Amino acid sequence: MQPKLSLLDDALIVRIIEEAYQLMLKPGIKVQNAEARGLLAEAGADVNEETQVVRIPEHIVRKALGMVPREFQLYDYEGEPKVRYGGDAVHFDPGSSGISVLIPETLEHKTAETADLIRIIKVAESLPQYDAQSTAVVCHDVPKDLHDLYRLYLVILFSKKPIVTGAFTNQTVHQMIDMLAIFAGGRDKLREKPRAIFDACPSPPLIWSNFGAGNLITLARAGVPAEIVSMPLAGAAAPVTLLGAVTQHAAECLSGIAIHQLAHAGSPIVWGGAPAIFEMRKGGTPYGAIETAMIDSSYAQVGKSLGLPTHTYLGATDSKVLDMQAGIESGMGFLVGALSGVNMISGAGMLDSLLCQSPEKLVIDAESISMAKRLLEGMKTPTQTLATEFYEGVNFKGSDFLKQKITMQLFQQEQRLPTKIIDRDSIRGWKQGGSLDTFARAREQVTDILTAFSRPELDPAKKAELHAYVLTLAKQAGMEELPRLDELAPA
Amino acid sequence: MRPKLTLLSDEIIARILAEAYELLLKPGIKVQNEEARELLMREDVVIDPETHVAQIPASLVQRALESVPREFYLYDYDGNPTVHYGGDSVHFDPGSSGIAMLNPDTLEHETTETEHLIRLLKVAEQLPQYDAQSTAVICHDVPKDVQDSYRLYLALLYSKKPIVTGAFTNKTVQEMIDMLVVFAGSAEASRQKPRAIFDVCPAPPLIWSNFGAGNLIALARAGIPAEIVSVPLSGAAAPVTMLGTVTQHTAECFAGIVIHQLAKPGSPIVWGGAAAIFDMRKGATPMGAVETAMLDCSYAQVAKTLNMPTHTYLGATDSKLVDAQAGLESGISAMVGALSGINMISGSGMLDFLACHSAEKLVLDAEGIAMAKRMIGGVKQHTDTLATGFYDNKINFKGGDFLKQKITMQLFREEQHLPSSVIDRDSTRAWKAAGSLDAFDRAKLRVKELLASYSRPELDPDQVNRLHSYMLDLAKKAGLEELPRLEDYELA
Repeated sequence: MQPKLSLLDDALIVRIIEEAYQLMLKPGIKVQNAEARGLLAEAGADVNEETQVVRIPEHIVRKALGMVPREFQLYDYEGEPKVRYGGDAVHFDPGSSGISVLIPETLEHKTAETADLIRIIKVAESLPQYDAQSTAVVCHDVPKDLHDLYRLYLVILFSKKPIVTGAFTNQTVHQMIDMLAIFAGGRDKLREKPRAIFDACPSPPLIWSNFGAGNLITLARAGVPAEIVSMPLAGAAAPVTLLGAVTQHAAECLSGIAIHQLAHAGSPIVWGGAPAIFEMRKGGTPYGAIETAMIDSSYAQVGKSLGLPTHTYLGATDSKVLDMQAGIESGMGFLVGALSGVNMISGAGMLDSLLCQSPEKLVIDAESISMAKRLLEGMKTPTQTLATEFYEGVNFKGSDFLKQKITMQLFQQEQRLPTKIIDRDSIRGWKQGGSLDTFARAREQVTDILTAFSRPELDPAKKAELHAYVLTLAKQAGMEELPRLDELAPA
Repeated sequence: MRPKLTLLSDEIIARILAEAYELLLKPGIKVQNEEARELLMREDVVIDPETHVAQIPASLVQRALESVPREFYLYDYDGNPTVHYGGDSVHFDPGSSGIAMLNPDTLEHETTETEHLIRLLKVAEQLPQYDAQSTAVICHDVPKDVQDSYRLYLALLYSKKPIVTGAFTNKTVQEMIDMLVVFAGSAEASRQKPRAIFDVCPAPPLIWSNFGAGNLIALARAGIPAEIVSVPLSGAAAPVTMLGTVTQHTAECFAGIVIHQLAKPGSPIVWGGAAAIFDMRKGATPMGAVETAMLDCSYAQVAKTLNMPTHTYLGATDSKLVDAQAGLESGISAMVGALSGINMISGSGMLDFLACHSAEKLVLDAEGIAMAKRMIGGVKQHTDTLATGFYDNKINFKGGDFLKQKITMQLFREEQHLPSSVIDRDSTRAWKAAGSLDAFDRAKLRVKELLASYSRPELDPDQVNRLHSYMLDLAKKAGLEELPRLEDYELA
């Protein structure tokens, strides 16, 4: 039995959905994309072209919900299904909103560039806790027009895992789909076995921007999975109450699903988000706050009641360094996300309210993720009796059970053995090991991973085709040569 | 709706109980206390005269379970009930097994003395997240014979909160009960409104030592709450499987409750423990492991089916420092404990497998506890409509629309726990401007603030003097002519 956390009873879920339907009528949803408004109008929604506010009736949404796939998979480079969106499957990927990286030597939050993203990809590639890669940070050494697709380009070159990504414009989403199609062997094959999922964000409160709605439409038509990342901020861009924020989240997701399914019925889409409470004293968005996790757990429950695949942002911290705060906030965030049965939990590696990525944090977070995954496996029954059979020859001695053969046979199934990130040494052993704290051990582990990493063997023809494709786009953006990856990331 | 974590199906719980009853018969329970054996034999329990192994029948356990109180309170100095043992109430107290304390400046684990315990008491006293004090560390500057009673003496002098404590011998448990009576006014009053609860430990596997069983009997007769702290170690002193460990835990608690209730039916006792897995590589007992938390969550579920008050050891870390590992282990396990609805969760402040305490960790753990308590507070319904009422005419699809609403300022403090300064939610710029402090640095500052702002509780001077002379008498018998000087008190 997979242990589960529920914050909402059935009656409350019904009320949330009812009020979300009411919000779609009043105040309605602002849809800033003309094509999306056209689709909604055609389906019978009341569109005010002046204010761009659309009143979306319940029947349109109900119909859309009837057509959304209940589950789908993401595939790795080899075409193996690796990430299951649907049910209570739980996966983790690194957070992908970073604009800076933590430099472990100086503790500076440095503006991220190509070499930084490559380092992050290598670390995430080597850790089994991450079921997918993400396009984790923006690389500021390439022109802005390329920022989104260049991240995807790097991940494709350095990873075989499924990818959580996202486009920044309505034009680049097409180009990024093209890039994936190169490796899939055409757009049809990509639709059949999607390697990547694209985040698509509404703007709180209750707005689908031109870009957000445009992405939904393009992804739906390409049959490439879309992940709605709705971000109500309780008290600023959403009602101050957690339940009010959850209701607004539902309205934003439901309207997104309507647009998406009207563009192409049956295309895969995920009920996701990155909501947060609003910190009134500092004006911040604390992603490590427990209330943020409670909003996430609640909206996931709403999504599940509708039979939808789910996503959220948890496991991040608001701390600026890898300290005890980072441990508390990230550990609890992963735990709540996992117990909520959220299919994809993004946020690992992130510091400073989702602004800064850290490979060192990725390796520490991997330990929390292992703990959360172990908890999800629950209590096991590997023996016929639970206990009585163990007491043969036991003679009331403290170490009696150490001598049993079954102890050596079963302990690795019962316990997950952590890496050296987790110190379980005696104080003497720990001192002999150099009295390292968790951050210092993480730095060592990142160095080890980077040293051991070897680039995945990819089809050279496809690599060349991808490179040529991206180089063309780079030249159009005014960049004559792409950063030399061999120099930035020597083999 | 209160969120809850459960790991066991009803069927598994039934099997655990059934097999625990079997263990009480075979291999049986080794009872090393003569009086306890006599109590059992009076009920026709078969006891091997040589090995002292008792075969305790299920009927005796069931009778004992019937006479156990389902709930009770601990009281503060002023006589207010502030800790509720029973149901799904959740409380936290600092861990109490410390023999060392982290020196925040040198990072050494110093052998603890009087000043260390006083520092911990002062910090815990001011943090509302700790519902009770604990006799957190041993003071090595007093003789061994008085180390348990001396800890209680200090807690009584420096705190008004309820106290989780424990005696180290069958003699000192009587002395510590006497000390509580001094403050309560009479034996009857200390029974009516107990200030403290005593941890009592069986020895795994399936042993009630002379000292453990003796404490159970003394506490039962005094009517002072006892807290069973069963410590099965999966793979060493208990079966390697987690369910096997939970079953042994059940059998040890059953046997303890029988002895306790035979000594005095109706006395309060708690189903508790400090179970752990055993780390085969290091020979260690990782208290921060999630498997350890799973053992605790499971045995608490067993207890709840029997309607027993519950206790556990969670919120500790195996790290030697107040670092990221300390945060993730303590945070995850405190949350598991809270979601399991455990009445008293001990372990905050502890590093290094429960050996070392840290005042800095106490203040950071308080934030993890606040988060766990907020979580079990659940989502709240403050308004008639969940959402629609918020979208008045001023809401115009702008990101900051809701900031202007009066209700936002009225409700945000009820919805959100506002963390103390040890949690950083600043911008990077502001964080740098404030000195780029990490959580440990901030905790050090907060501890200094708390120590500066502490004022000792106003206690009845007559009681204080009587307690002091009682303690001094014990110390003299143990060969210590004078008790360590206490800065905050002038005691003769």
